[in-house]
Amino acid sequence: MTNPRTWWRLSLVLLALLTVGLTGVSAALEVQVWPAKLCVKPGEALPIQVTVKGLPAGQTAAVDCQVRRGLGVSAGHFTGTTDAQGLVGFTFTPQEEFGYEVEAVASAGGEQARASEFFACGRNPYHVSVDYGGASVQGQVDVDKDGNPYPPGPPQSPWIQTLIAEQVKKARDTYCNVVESNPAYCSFAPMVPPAPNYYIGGPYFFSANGWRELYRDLHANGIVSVVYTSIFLTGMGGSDFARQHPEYVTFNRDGSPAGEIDTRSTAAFRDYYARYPESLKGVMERYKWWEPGLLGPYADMTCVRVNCQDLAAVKLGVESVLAGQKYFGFDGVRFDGHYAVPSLGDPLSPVAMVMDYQGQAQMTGAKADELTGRNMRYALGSFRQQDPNFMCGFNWASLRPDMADESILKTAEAQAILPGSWVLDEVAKGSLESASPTNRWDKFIPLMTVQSDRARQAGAFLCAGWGGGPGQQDVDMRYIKAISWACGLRWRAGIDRNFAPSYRTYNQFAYRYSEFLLSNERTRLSAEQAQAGLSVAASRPLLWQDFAYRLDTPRGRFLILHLVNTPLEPIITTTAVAPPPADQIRVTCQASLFPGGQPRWAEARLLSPDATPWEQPVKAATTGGQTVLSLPALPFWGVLVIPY
Amino acid sequence: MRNLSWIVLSLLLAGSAVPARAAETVPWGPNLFPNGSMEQVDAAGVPTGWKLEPDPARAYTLTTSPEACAGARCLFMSLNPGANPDTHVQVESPVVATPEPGWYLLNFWFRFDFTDARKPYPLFACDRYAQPDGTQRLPGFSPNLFRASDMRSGQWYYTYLIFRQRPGQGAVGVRFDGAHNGQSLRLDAFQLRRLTVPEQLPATDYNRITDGVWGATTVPDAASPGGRASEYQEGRNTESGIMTGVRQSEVPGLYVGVYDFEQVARGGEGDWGLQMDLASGSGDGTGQTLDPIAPSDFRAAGDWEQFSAPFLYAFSGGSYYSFSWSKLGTYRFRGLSLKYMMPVTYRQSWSLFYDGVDADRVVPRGAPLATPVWLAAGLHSDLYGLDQALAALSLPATRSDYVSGKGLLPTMPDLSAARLVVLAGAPARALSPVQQYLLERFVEQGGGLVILGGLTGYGYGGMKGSFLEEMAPVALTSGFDLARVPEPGTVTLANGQTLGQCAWAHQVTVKAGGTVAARSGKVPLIVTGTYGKGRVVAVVATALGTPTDPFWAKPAWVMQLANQMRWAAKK
Repeated sequence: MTNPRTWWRLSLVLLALLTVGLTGVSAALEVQVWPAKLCVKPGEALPIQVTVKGLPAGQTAAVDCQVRRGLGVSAGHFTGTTDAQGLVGFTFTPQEEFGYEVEAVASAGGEQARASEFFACGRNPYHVSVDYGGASVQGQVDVDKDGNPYPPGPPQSPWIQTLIAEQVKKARDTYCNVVESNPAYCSFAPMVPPAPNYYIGGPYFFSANGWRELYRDLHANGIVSVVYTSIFLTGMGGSDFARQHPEYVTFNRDGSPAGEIDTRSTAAFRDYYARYPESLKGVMERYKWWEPGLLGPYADMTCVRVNCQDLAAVKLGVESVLAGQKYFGFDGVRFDGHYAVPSLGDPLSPVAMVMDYQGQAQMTGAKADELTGRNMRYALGSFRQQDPNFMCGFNWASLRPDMADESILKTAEAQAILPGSWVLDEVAKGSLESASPTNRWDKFIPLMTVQSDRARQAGAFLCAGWGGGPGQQDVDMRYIKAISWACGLRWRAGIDRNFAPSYRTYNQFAYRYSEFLLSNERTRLSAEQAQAGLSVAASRPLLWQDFAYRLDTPRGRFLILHLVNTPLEPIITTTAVAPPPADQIRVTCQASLFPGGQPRWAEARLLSPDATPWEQPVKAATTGGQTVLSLPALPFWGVLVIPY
Repeated sequence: MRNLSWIVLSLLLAGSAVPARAAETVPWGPNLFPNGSMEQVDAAGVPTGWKLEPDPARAYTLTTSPEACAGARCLFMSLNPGANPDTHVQVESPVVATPEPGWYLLNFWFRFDFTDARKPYPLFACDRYAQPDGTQRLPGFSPNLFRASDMRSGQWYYTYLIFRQRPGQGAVGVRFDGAHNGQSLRLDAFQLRRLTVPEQLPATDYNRITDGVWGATTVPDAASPGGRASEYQEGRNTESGIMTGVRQSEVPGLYVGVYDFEQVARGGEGDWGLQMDLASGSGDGTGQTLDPIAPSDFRAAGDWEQFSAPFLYAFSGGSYYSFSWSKLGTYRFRGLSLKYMMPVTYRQSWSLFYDGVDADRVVPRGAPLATPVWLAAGLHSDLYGLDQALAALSLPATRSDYVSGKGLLPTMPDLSAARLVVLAGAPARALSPVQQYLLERFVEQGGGLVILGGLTGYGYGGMKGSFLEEMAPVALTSGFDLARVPEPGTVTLANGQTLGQCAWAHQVTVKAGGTVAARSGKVPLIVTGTYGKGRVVAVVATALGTPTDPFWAKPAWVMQLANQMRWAAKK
């Protein structure tokens, strides 16, 4: 118990127990339930710990645990008795994908207490990823009081231990089962540190011990981590790659390298290196990457693009990623620019018009697409040869209908990168800018729904990168999240910011009902199809026409309709004002909505994170060939789910 | 362009100075920042209105220090003994109301004291609020960062930010993010003033850059598809894209940038996106991004639009525009002009902005220095052993680093006392017309010039057809002139001595009168020559590639480089 690692692990568990479990019904008796992992794979045993507090000395409590998925479908039932410390554990092995709720009821001395917690099951963690945050231990080095690095192993710095505990807790609190981290930057720079446990992979300095420990602890909590990487040559590592391989550097038409050059920090690196511990100089050679004062500036160069026409260049990048995964133990990468030809992937963009070192323009068109497909098949094949579960994400907004038509799905690039991958539409974050064509909800929604349709069709998981703007105010956070999920998007803003209180509730809700919000087995009805089968009346207008889906799986068939209380402002803003709740909601459904099945109206539910409980029954009245559903009032967002 | 520069510069050097606008009224209002000089303190001894962001570990103390920049005291934030130096803490200013929409200038002074290598990373951000009382926080903004490598312990630095408050934006506050890594931070002399710069300027001011004193120091914008900064080709802008351009001036002062834009036709009501980001930068590497211009700022199609935004160059600098679009119709962009409003020289700038402040406490970064050597350092120039070679010659150097889009930083030193200029992979395009003129005069009149190459040198640095190629003893074969040196690539001096291997070199032709000082086989690697009364050394061997026995790692290479420098400098 004197081991500091044990202490901080214990503190993590205690913090989680204190903050996550719902409060009990009885003032005296309190129960908490805690799945060991946020996400498991189908068939993976999940330990669930129940803790009962407030028991009279020496007494035990009877515990009844229900595990539910879908619309309250029982997936498991456990009973047991706590020990004298109030603890009892169960093991549940989920088989079906998506979100689960585990509810524990404790009874003792005539009192009863109840608590719930949520977890998910996914073959691919992206499938149930409602949010996408960042976790980091950068800015901390694992050194003794004299500045000498500790040897490889668990980090010994208490600052790092605390930081890791906080990061893991944040990820669990916000139901982020996939987090992004950034121990390396440039895919072509060596990801493996040249000296153990004191490392900068480009712009940042940190402890390699810290990163490895972070990944281990995330894994222990059922959370995976992908690392940010780009093909852009950045920092001292990228700069040295360019120096070693000028044949793979691209240039602007005026001959300057296609990126930013800034040699100011180079001198500072050199100055610092002169004072660096002698024990590390020998292995550093030229890689003076660890200037602790240089947190942000990218020494030497930033975002100089690589000429990926030659597969040999790609292989060098892939080798670095593979070595990095072996060293750190992360689960995959999120490319911010992948091995595309031309390097930004948009042959029409003037900034994509780059030259090789001999002044020849990079290929464009079908030949370029063919090479990009080749590169990415090689890269992903190599990654998944080393790790069959290797996860890949891309910053690729090309699925947007304002960027490309449906033929984009037939390109070699799309077919190579999309299946099973997470795709970030970073352009979406511009929606908060008044200059953006998607600054209005009526522009944003059609673009995003079609884009997410395409992503599902290709087996990818689309995410809107909202960036740092929204989420600090309750109303804008609710709208942006609700409409993102209604459009079929995932949401990404990061877990390291101060969000409105409902942020966690919305994520919790989305995680629980991820089957209806995120499944790629859904098919969206076009607005015309939706209007032919549905009509919605309410005290104020609701957004719904673009948000009707069919979910057809071996687990069941469902009609899903998102209903959003129309924002007062037509523009997307971080200063949104809450509208009055919509009430007197009537949804009229035609029988044609349920081909090959009969709707089970009694099982239909309105799901809403704005209501308590989240699942509410709806009243159905069928006359002739149509059924009118009466729904409770809606402050912001609800999801009508009708099994058939 | 070059001839024009000569004419203009000749006029200038004949006696002209800063344009005669100094008498113009200072275009800003009273200081709105309460207690900006930190003279008032609360009961705890903290400057009134200032606070630390939550600091549960109580790692830092906020108080005042008599080592002030202005007045009797300044804000002082210091690490408590025994506290974790990695604790990240922010210090927050009071919220300051901006009484009406318009342009504002915010400026202040800061100073770090640090004792080890853990240099600060100063970052300050402005929060913006909807209400004058600081309620309803809006998205904030921040200027460019200061570089840690630029920082000196115990020196005062100042920074400024010019921003526009639009209707609905009623207050700002400052957060300073730099006090971590254990160093102490001082802040002082905060000012927030409203600028009374006209939003619209008469069309007759187009292209009158700096009142014509220094000429139109336009940098052609090769990145724009039409090959010119001033106009984008119609009919091509059917996709998203971005276009950037630069205008630079050598004269410190207050300017108004004028952006001239014609939207020929929209792509459809509401179905277009357009944004123009404006930024200013100074020769000292500071700068800021200004507010974007949004479609709502534009009038109807078919009109030439004009937008103006004030810039403050405390040193010399430039203005940059970034113009992005998404699926709009067609448009033309005539580009950016700078209208010179009033001069701000180094000392004048202090007195203008900081009345009563002792200017001698300021490090005049970018101020001319007189040293025997000017070293312009481009990419990978640290590999060539330049410092060791200069040390061997006992020649102190002024160093300028290369930054894309900003040229060489700090600005060019006074060459009147110089003997040698070393362009180590520094692009020719990084030199302004003024600098080109001065450098050419320097060599012609007897100065020494050593040119080294690499990914930003020779052809890749825009040297082909430039004044540098004219002075050099070699002619470039193309703009993209790197080629592999046939193996083994052994560098052999004229006396037969070998220096290791060279894998890549710039392809050049030795001019008449040039002397090959080193070669590999038939490939010339070092060529010497003269220009006017001066001497020029062209090192076309590069430190690129991965030869097994690189020449640049050899002690004998440093000696060879020192000898070439000695020859060029006539030392």
